[in-house]
Amino acid sequence: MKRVISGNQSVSYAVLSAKAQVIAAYPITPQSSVVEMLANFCSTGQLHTKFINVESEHSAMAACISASVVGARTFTATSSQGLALMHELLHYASGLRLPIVMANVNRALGSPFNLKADLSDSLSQRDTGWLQFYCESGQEVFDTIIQAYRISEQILLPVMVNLEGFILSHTYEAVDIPDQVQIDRFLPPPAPRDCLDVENPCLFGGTTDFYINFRYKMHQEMEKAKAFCQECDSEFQKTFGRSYGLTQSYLCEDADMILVTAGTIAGTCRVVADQYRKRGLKVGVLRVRLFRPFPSEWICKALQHAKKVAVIDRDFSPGCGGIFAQEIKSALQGTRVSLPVYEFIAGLGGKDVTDEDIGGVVEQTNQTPEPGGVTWIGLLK
Amino acid sequence: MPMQPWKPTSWLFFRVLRKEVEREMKKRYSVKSLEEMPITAISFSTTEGNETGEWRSQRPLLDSEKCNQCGLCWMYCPDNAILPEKDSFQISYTYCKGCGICAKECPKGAILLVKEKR
Amino acid sequence: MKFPIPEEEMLYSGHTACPGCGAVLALKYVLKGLGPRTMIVIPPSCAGTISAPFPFSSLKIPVLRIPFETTAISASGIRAALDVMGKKDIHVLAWAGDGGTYDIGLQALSATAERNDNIIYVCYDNEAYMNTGIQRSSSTPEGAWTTTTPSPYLKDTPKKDIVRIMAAHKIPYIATASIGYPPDLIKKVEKAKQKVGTKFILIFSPCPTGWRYSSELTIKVAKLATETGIFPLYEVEHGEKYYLGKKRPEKPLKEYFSLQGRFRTMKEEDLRRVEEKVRKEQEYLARMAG
Repeated sequence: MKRVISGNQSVSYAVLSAKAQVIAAYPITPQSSVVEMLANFCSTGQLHTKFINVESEHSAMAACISASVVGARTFTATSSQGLALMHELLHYASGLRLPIVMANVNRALGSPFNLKADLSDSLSQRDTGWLQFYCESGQEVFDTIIQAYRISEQILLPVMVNLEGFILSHTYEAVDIPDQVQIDRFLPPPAPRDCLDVENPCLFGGTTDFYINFRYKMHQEMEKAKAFCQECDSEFQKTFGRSYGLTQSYLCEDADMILVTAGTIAGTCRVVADQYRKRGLKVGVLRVRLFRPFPSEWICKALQHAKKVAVIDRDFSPGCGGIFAQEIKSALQGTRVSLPVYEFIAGLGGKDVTDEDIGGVVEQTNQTPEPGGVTWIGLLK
Repeated sequence: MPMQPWKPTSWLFFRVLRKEVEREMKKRYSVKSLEEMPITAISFSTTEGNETGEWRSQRPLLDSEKCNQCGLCWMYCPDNAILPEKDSFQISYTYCKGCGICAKECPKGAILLVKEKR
Repeated sequence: MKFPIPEEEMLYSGHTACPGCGAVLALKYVLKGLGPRTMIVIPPSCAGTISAPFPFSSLKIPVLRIPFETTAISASGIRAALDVMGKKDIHVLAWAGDGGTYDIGLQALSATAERNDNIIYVCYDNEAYMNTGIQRSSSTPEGAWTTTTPSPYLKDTPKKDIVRIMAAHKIPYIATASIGYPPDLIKKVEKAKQKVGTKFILIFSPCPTGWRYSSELTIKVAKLATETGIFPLYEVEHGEKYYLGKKRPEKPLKEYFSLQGRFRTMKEEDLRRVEEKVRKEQEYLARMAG
């Protein structure tokens, strides 16, 4: 059935549909309403789950880890500072190969203090071994969380679903929530795996010099994960009639210039691309949805006919530049090293990225023969 | 002091991954190949292969005539190296580390500590 | 033949505890009290190292090794998962040392106690960060040598009173116990497992390596701590009802301190001060027990 709900509420409805068994979460703006709604579902009996009111995000992830080792389906949600606080445990969760799903509402990391959308928080966790999805709409958030449970329980790696703070988390749209029977068909109860079990005692997480072998196994799984995510998305299409792919192309087949971005900026980019098409400039938009594992093959394929690429990053790695730009440049290294990649940083700290800003990006990319370092949009004059 | 013959079991715990140790691990604990390893560090084997008796520099000797089977030595042994045997107790020299708690706590003085000969 | 404590062993021999280790004795006794239907979480600590590296385990029950500061919350997470899956008869044991309880793990412990999650939290107290090489913790007593409080900069603040902190949370059961008195320790464990809610047991676990005494004296040192009044044995229910153990201080403090090398530089006036503190503590406990 369709409901007019916010991005955060989509997260809560998805967790309700997925029937998570243990939820441990700590409030942080802009994630708090996710947790409030889940607590509400628990109190009305709609969600049969143990809800642990933890005292910090670090403990929230610790609770999810230990509950998941016993075999329960778990969930937590957080943002910037909380995600950063959990950092050591993100490594722990992926190292123990646990199917935890987390919703991260992207928010800028202080200092300076800022509560609004910025992808740097989740991108700083790119080495933790978690799969990462970046969503553009409330419907996609709902669908991706359902897919995330299926993916994580199959490949035994945790999944992070990202949505931008306030821009997506607090805006309302009509979201189709499928009925529970359909969801149960797509997302069956988790398959048995090695768990803590008194009938068959073992020790999880021991010290080992075989460490490199376990990391290699994780690497192998991550490589297989790309194909699995694609397959899962196709299954989702068959069951629910919607799919998103690992990347979403818009008019990229014949585009001379392709704008590459993640999250809600893609929507603005598409509007601007249409405007420029009317003026004769062939612009396409590529939205990266799966960031880890990085879908290099999919991206190179989408960019294969482009003459110029402009990457718009809503994130920043000091001393390096935009993170998506770096990943895309290294992905192109193998196939199209000569394709010029123009780097732009915009929207940090929730600064609105308008169609004029994107227009500026297109103009600059079009007029400049060579990319020359990172261009920052929206600074004070 | 004569050179000790190399014993794979004790060396394992110094985490020195030499080829011989890896081979021993594979033989004893069925860690045969990369494919057969679990996806994360999950331990299913016990520590009973580690003969901590090698650590001893003094050895306890139990005089069964003085022993009144109170069970205090069995209770206080940190290594479970004193085992019930028929209606008395026996020291397991495979695991006894020679800490001396049993000798100290025995109310009848039935346990004597002597220097370990090697 | 009568055994003073339950017969079934829950630890395998061949673990790498130091000869004469008090911590492994604490683990041995508590597991005997809880039995095989138990799950344990262990942070990095002496117990973590004793539990053995991959692919071995020295415990007969399922073990989860967890990050340092998360002992209490990891136990709560396991409890939540077991309850949701309907396995409410399995005991969940959080096993941390003094460093992981008094210092880095205190936040999570306080939260678990406040939520009154149904777990047993045991702190085995060897009065320093022994596993990493004898560094001081907030549980190290005044005047003790550690590698981070070398002479003359010995620890100059008193041992943190974790029992008072836990009593303030009004949890159903708190007990202090000692490896010097295993039947009493096991009785307290059995009492704890009957209760629902957060149970906290503090176990006095002497360490020959860190306290600088010969390994055969572990049990003697543990008993002397209680006999001199340094470590009184008592129980607290709901933060209000105090029950004192039968052992009253009867021996001079000097006997306890003289056995340990870590108190070698203790002076007469320090001894007087400690005697005064011990006396005050006894008075306080007597008053609370009514």
